[in-house]
Amino acid sequence: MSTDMLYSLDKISSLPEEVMVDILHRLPIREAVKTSLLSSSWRYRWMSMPNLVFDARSLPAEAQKDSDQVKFVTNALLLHNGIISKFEVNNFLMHGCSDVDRWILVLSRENLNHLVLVFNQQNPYQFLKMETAPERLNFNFDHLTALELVVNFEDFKEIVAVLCLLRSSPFLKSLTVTYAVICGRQSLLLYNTQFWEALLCKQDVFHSLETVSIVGFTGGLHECGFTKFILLKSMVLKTFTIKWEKSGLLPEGKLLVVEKMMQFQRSSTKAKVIFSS
Amino acid sequence: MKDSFNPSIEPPKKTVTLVSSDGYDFEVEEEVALESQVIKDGFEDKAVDDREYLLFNVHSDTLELIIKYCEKHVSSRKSISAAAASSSSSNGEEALKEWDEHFISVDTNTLYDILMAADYLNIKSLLDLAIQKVADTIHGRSPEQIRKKFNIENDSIIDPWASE
Repeated sequence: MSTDMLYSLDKISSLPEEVMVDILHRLPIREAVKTSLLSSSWRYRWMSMPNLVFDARSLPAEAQKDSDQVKFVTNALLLHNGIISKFEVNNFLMHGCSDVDRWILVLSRENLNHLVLVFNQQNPYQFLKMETAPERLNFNFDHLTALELVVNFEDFKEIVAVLCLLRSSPFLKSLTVTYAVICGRQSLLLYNTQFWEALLCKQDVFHSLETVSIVGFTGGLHECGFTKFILLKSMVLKTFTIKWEKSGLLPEGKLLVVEKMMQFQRSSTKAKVIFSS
Repeated sequence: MKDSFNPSIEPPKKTVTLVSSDGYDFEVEEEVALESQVIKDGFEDKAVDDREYLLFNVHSDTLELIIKYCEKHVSSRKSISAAAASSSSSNGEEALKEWDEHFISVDTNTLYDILMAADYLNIKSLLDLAIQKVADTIHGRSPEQIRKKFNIENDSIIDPWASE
């Protein structure tokens, strides 16, 4: 009978810390948080997970309001205790909202390395919901090395917000921008015709940026403007990858865009521009 | 011998002896034992004729399973690379995955023992397999079901997420 006694012991709860972290890491965050209900020894375990990933896997089966999802993220941030090195909100919310700005503020106090903000492409998040985003934030992301965003290049306000995040992340190494192509979207703020020219004259310099990708590139004026800006301002850029939008330009059109872009000045002598489809 | 891969030209197999915590000797081929990073690291430091490893934390029941896993992986790797070299089609990796899945479908206590042994011996692929199994067992189950599965006693008084 002594083996029966032995077998009824709760062994899983006494696994080594790093094994425990690995188990939680493999679960969608909603499942990981659920383990806090198991027993007192599990209650605080998920709170020290370094990666907080809110993605489609963590959406509840039954349809819920976006506000519940927002509350879930806010609660998780509030209860989390430890280093957050990755924060990802990826197809978790239908709409962006001002709460996201508050998360960004909270995260700036963390040793965040990797930030991913991806929203439904029909309703992209307009970050930093202010009249216009400032040049830079009042704080820096001093540990942020990787940033992934969905951006609508037709919207002047979004571009300004992206630039604001870039300037506030002095050690950023890798940037991935997915272009949200929005059909029939209204009330876009129009660019000042001199917008990109004015920007190129500014003193911006990126000293750490090595890898940049634009996904869903259509060759539009503002995408080209952004590319020109990055190539000119990044001192140690290694690769700039451009992935064409699938149903985009015909080969002749692409050629024209490529020809134009070959003339853009590059500050980094090592910079390679790679086009892929 | 499991691998029939050109046995004629292979040199005689070197073996090492693994001793379980309850004192049983297991003689295994060197390359099978070297699946464990801990043994591999120790191997380089050891004198050539000292080929005995005392595994204080691994019971013979578990050690038998661990050796079975390592033998399977060593022989599968050989047949997969042999198939690749002769460019003949093979579903070796697919079959190994299936074998792994079957191997790790064990009761909770055995799963725990395998996990601890894989962690102790540092056998990365086996540790991965066991950790994923625990995660899969938690996924989609209610707290009550998980408690039952792992014999976890519910001593919680406050539920921090009760307001959800």
